[in-house]
Amino acid sequence: MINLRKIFKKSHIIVTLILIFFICYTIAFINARHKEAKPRVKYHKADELVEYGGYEYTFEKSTMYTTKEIMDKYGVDKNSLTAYTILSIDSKYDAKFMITRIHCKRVSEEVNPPEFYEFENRYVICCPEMQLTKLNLPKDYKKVKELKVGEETTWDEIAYINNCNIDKDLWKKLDKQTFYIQLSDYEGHEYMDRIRVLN
Amino acid sequence: MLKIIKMELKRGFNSIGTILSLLIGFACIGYKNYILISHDIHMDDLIEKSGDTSYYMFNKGNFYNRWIVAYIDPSMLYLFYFLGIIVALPYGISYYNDRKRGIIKNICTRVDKSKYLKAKFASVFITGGTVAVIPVFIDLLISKLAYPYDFINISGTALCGRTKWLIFIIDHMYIAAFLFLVLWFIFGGLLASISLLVSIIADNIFTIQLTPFFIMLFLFYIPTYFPVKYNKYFPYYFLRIHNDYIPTIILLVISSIAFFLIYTNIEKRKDVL
Repeated sequence: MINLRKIFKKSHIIVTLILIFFICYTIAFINARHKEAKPRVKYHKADELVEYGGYEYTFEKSTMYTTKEIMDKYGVDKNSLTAYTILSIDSKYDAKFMITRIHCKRVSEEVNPPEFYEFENRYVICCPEMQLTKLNLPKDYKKVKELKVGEETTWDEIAYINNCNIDKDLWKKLDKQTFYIQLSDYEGHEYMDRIRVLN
Repeated sequence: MLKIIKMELKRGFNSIGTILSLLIGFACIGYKNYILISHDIHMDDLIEKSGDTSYYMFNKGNFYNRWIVAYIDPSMLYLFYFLGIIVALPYGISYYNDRKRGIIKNICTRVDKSKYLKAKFASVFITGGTVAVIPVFIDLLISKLAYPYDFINISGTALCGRTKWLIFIIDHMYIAAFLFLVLWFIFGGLLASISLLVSIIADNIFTIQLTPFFIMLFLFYIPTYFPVKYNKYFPYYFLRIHNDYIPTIILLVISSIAFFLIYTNIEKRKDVL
């Protein structure tokens, strides 16, 4: 009589099960890659014309400022900065600011404007400095959503980074880091435009 | 020495406890992923009904977004709750059983007792570590299915440049994932070896089996009574991305060596016959 126990050892069964698992997993993984569109990232340089959602954008090169520099530049106190109203004015934390001039022109009837402009690099996300951006909007500024075909607008988008959640060494060399403005295609998240605005 | 370690490991991995541990681990991971998948289905419905496509932005990212070491949701807590049971089930009570059933007499008449104790510690450590790490590894694979492309876009993800370890994770995702598995393995082994330490003094199977579970629960709730800066010394934090890896691993290795020395030195002096 055939002794199945001798032919199929326990270790053989375990190895076979592991192999079956990994084969099934590989099939599932290949299927997932086919199902999920790979997000394509288009890289652009600063001052390059970028078409996005029915608009033509030009992002000028950004400049990074310290709190003192930004207060001197715009003649404002810490109270007028979102960065410090969030952190509290007496906070021991420090903030750095990035200013980017954005030109936007509507070129299409059908538009899909971005909700906001994401400033980020590999490790850090910048938050929008709303109070200062609003304070410094030009008189002829029009919201991107309100633009008619052929109309254009220009403004300085200000973002800040605070050091409460950043490694000390990274904070010291933040000026040398590459920063991008990121425009995402939310409709199907199939592509993303990254404009290199700093370094 | 190698022979007895092999024998002990074989006993450990062949035990019914290993299968039970793996089942509990898979159940915890399965529940977490079930919650996540139902959340995904709910989000898809929401986007379809509302037409608000901005929800899609959360779908970009990498596998850390869903992996248990970085994902934050009550559903992932079950693995932490049961980790003490998971690691101790396979072989935690084996030393107590060996003594109780008299197997230790048979072994120690054939091999040196210190060799047996070393092999016992190694096998408890390895089986505990293995059953702790397998569910985490399976969760990594499942997370990878949800994010098949490692898209580095840190907005909306758990990764950021807060510490050097997090920067390392962003730069070397897979090496960091491997290091996390090593961390879970060592912690699992260490937690399992608590059973061995308890079996030195305790003479009750439930005490030995459940001590790692209660210690884990204790370590889970106690950080709330400490200042936040000390949280990184507690498992819920150091088993996840919010830690500094090197001090943690040093702490765990030192604790493992200390446990090993305490166990072998105390038990070596006891008479078995």
